[in-house]
Amino acid sequence: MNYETIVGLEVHVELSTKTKIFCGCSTEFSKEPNSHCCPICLGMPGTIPLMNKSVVEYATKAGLALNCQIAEFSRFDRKKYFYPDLPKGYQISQYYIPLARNGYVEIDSNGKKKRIGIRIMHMEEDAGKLVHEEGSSYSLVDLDRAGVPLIEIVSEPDMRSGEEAWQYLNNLKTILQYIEVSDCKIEEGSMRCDINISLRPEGSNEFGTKVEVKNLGSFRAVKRAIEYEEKRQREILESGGSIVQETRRWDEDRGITIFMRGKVDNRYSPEPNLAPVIMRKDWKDEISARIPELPGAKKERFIKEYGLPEYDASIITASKVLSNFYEECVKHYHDPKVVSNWLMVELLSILNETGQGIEDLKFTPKQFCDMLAMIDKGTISGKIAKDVFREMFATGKSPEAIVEEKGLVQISDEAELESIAKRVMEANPKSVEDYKNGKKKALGFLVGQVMKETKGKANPQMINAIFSRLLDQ
Amino acid sequence: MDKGTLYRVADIAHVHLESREIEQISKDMDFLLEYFDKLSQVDTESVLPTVCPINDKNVLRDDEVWDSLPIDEVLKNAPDKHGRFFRVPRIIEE
Ligand SMILES: [Zn+2]
Repeated sequence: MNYETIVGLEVHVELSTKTKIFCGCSTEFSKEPNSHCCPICLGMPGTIPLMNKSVVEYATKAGLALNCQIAEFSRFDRKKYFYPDLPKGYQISQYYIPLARNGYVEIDSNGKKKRIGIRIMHMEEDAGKLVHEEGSSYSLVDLDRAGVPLIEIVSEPDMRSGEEAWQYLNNLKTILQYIEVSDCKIEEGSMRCDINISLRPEGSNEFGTKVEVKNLGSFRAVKRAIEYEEKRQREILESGGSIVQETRRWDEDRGITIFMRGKVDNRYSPEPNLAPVIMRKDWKDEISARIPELPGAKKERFIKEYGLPEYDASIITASKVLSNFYEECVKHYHDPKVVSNWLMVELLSILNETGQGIEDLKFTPKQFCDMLAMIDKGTISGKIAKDVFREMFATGKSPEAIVEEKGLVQISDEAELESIAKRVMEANPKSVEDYKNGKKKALGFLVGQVMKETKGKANPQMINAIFSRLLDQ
Repeated sequence: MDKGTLYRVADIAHVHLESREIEQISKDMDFLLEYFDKLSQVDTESVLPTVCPINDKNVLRDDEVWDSLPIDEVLKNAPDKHGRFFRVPRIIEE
């Protein structure tokens, strides 16, 4: 029997407000544990949570960017459980009346657009961090993260593969980064994801029993865990067994999921110490006006306005900073495709190598375009330009200064090139003979020799033309 | 409240009770329950559930950092600590 995979994701994202959700303690990363704690986030009896206005605004902005309906009235509840990272014995969250519902994120499914529904998006507080000491019977608790604002984004069970889940997460992340509500770094824990996955016979409309998978440390892990669970559940079903509703954890090293715990029912009650959140139209409109052009729309525009292939447009718009840099460049240079080639190949690979971000670039879009113009004018060759580019990246110097300093100006003097060509021919009679006997590849060797002699500065078109003329005589 | 129920409630709330406390707390609980009995006699048929007395306006704080507590204040009431950390019995990995 063929089975269909049904995937829903629960994503937690830390909001990048200055302070925690219910107190004025800083959310900044602290070097020393328990540096950002006060009676409220320590859960001292008698304290009252004080709602952070920016959290409401950030969360509403996220809800709108994810195409959700924003509730005019939403409220907080207490989710009760005992764990040492939760000082109050309950987490303040929105359960009964969440801030946002019924949104979607668009993904690409086999060349077609597909909407992944968002059932609910709500605000809540993060828990603290437990440090387990190897071989000790104690755990250490750091409450700096306790009370950091989160939004939880619960998708509909609309994804059908690990690939679709991976795309959904990527698009979600890009949107949240564009609207600047979170840095969404899954490796650093500011974005976390749990998977709900079940299988059902192809053609069926009923859902099978779902399994929850936790402890996913990267988008790649999410994809791998889904693919692993697909296989595990199919094998159980095919051998006549049934799936048990449970929570499993992903073991990255072994590439498998392991039983963690059975089904738990959390108990909720309304939070009486917080006033509801009232989101009236004027406030919502004000927040909505602050939402910039989102990645999906920007990608479409880049394809139309700059004639970029879809692939280029996706890569360039995957980062807001990169897409802004690109648009600045296009103002200074006539060929948008040349710019995207350079950014995608040279810039992204050097960023990858050095681990730097585009925001740290030392050169300006204008300087970058000046370099492209130098290639067009024949001042430098395309090959030399790559070296100039790397130098610009390292030092932030202008391309003119680099070319001047390092003597990289291309040799385009006909007479000079011809004399070098002749010298090379004299020194390599065998190659000349080969060429004349029909081995056209020998030309490449001769050109290479000229490049070697001129340290790559010979104008390649000119030297090719000169050789053709001399050899075909 | 009988002792069995009281122990169960304490267990759910993760509160440790000394046997000498039982007598007094049992009486206190009786008093509280009586009080709630009285409350449940009130006719609330036409009254909407009230979660918070403020229901029609926002109560919000600006996103401005305040001074957090010094570490000795943070750890002052902790039954056990280690350096700058709270220390708790190890929870078996779920
Ligand atoms: Zn605090």
